[in-house]
Amino acid sequence: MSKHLRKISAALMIAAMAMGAPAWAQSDTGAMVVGLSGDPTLINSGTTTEINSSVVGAQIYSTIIRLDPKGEPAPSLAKSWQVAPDGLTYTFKFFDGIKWHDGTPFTSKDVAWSLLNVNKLYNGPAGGLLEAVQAIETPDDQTAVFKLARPYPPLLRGLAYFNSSTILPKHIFDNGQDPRQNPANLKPIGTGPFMFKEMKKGSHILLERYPDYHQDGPNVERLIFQIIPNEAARALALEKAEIDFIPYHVMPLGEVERLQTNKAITVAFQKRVIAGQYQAFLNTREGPLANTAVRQALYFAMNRSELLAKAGFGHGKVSDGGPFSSELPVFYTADVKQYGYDPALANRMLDEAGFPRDASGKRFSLRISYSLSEGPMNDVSRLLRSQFAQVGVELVDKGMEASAWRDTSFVKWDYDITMGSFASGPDPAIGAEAFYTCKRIERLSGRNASGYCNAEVDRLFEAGGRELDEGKRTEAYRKAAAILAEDVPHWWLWDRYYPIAFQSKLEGITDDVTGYGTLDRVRWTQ
Amino acid sequence: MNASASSITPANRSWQRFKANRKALFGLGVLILFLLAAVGAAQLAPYDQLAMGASFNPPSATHLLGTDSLGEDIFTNILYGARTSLIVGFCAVITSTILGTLVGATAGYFGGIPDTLLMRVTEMFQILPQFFLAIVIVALFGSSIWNVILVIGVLTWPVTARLLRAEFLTLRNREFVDAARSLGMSDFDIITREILPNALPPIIVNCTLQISSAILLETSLSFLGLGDPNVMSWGTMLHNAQDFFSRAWWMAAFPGLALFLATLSLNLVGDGLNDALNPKNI
Repeated sequence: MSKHLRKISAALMIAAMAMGAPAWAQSDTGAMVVGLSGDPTLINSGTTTEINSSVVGAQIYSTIIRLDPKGEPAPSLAKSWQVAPDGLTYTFKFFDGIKWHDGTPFTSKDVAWSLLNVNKLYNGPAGGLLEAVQAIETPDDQTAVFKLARPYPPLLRGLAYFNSSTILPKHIFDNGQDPRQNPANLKPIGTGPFMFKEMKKGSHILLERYPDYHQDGPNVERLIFQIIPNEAARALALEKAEIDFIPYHVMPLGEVERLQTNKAITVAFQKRVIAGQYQAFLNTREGPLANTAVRQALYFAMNRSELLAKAGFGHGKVSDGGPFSSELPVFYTADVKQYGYDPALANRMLDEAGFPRDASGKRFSLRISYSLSEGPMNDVSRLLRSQFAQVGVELVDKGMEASAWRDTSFVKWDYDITMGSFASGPDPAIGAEAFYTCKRIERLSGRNASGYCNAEVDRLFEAGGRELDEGKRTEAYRKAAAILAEDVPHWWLWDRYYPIAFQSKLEGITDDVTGYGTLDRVRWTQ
Repeated sequence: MNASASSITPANRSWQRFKANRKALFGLGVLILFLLAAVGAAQLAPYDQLAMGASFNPPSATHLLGTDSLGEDIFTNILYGARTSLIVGFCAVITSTILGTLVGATAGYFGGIPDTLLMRVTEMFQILPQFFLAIVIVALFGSSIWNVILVIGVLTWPVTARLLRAEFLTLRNREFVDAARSLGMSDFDIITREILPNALPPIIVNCTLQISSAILLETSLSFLGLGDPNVMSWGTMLHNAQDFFSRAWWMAAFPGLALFLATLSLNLVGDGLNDALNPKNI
């Protein structure tokens, strides 16, 4: 249903665009317009992981630290920090004189309250990230001290992600109310470079420069998020300079090639340390896929270069590191079992596994589920149907609306194969671990829905998450990757590259490595 | 009676009139081609239904109508799409005709309270916005081809019902019906053996026209991405084509053309039948 509504609103949107561009569209260097595919349901990443919310919220709110273009921690709210040698104490010193947009002074109590009372409780990734944090002490208004129960190296970088670690104002959210119901979710007050001005559903969100921002910038007076549901219309709007930037999560992949030929537009690849992979969870509890040999055989039957070229328009790399994307620094290794395209081998393995072809040439049939709003998945399903037919396996397409997909796959576990884009990073302890360890077999979105459980893999992930020495961590994770590539609880299709497109005169967009960072340093060049 | 006289049955006379209508004959010819394509899709298709070649091949000798974004042969898909469209068209219309006949015959023959009740129900169905209801039902209950058929059938029966009721109202008081009644025939026999055969011509014409609207409805649903993903349909092909309109015109043009020809031929046949079966034209 919602897919249909989107189509209709897309049609209306095209009509609306044809009638006349918004007033701010005419290459006004005092403004910057970002294209989005739909309204964020709310602007508060403390309670949601929706990317639209993070992209908008990152301009209004702040995180404790940010990541520089190399992915190293850099000051944001905190001007300096120290990690104790035992890895159990993190001390952050904040800038003086930071004020919320309503004039209330920002203090370390905002940090402590927000992270422990909102983010940890209502935001999935933050729950994992802050699991080891026992307490956040605030000896004075400019200092916060994190006390950990056990060393947890991914914590520092994790605090730079708006998607999990947005700092919310205590004086607005600490009113006894459920933070998900707070009116400030649609009228946010932050410490970031832009102040919220107005939000018109289905049309735009208008932000204005915050003059008292404590860091440099921002360099534009107004920042506008323009809602354009139709993919082709979004690309067209960029070409007509009605919008200036299309972020990674709403980039129309089919338009990349055409936009690249336009000199006024730069197409770049967003470095994203969350290292997303298109991958398929396999239900290892029942049916033919409970058999490791079958999972391996069908992985051999898969022509992943064709999937990437035709469904992903070539924006990525066929996964060769098992559970870790090649975009994941340090931990990735290609020294794991490889699955090249080999239908003959697949046929042989299926015969040996005890699944002979019947009279019509068919061995068995599997259901393949995915969300219809997840870009290339419909095409992947069509291609796989064709590829698996060659080894006598029939696929039944179960594409469905996003929330129904999440429910049947991750809560009901009613699937054989379910596909989507999942993050292996920014650190395996945050990303990959959730999919493969026994304790994560939970009926929750983005958890171990395959039901795969291997004590050795659990031990390695456990060791990797605690270990402080990077060499030993790497070793543990690489061993785990090798075992997983052998057992194939998932089929890792391809490592995603994230194309983005923006007006060539904009500078500084590619400095952000999170994909939804603050745009305070972005400026127009002449 | 000699042989030539006995051969001029009403059906025969209708056929003579139909044959004289060139537009109707053209429609029939095209329709037969589509039927052949649908029945013989597996034999006629140059490629396997699941075969994938190079993407975006323009029409050529190897790929008569080009290939789509995934490298599927468009001609092959159109043949299989014809099968889907005709299955949906015929099955949906059979469903709706059965429903419509039951309701229309009962209401028209008995009149009174059954008539009032049934006609209010029919009107309720008629005021529902069909297409949006179809979308909601398919979105809720899944988009398998049989669901789509059922939805279309259930949503389109009121026209048949009203048409048949009107026929029954005029026929039920004719002399031959009175005669049958006075001979002691049961209501069921009178309906099925006396009135229904005489009420058929408008129903047949209506069926032909409804097949084409059922095909269009199915195509629209698939175009919005609500079709059965496990069967090929012209609507699905158009749905897949919309992102590549500037790049591969053949992805949209040929399924669109097939749809146009199929609905046009059905409408021409319908018009031809209407003229041929109408007793006023004798």
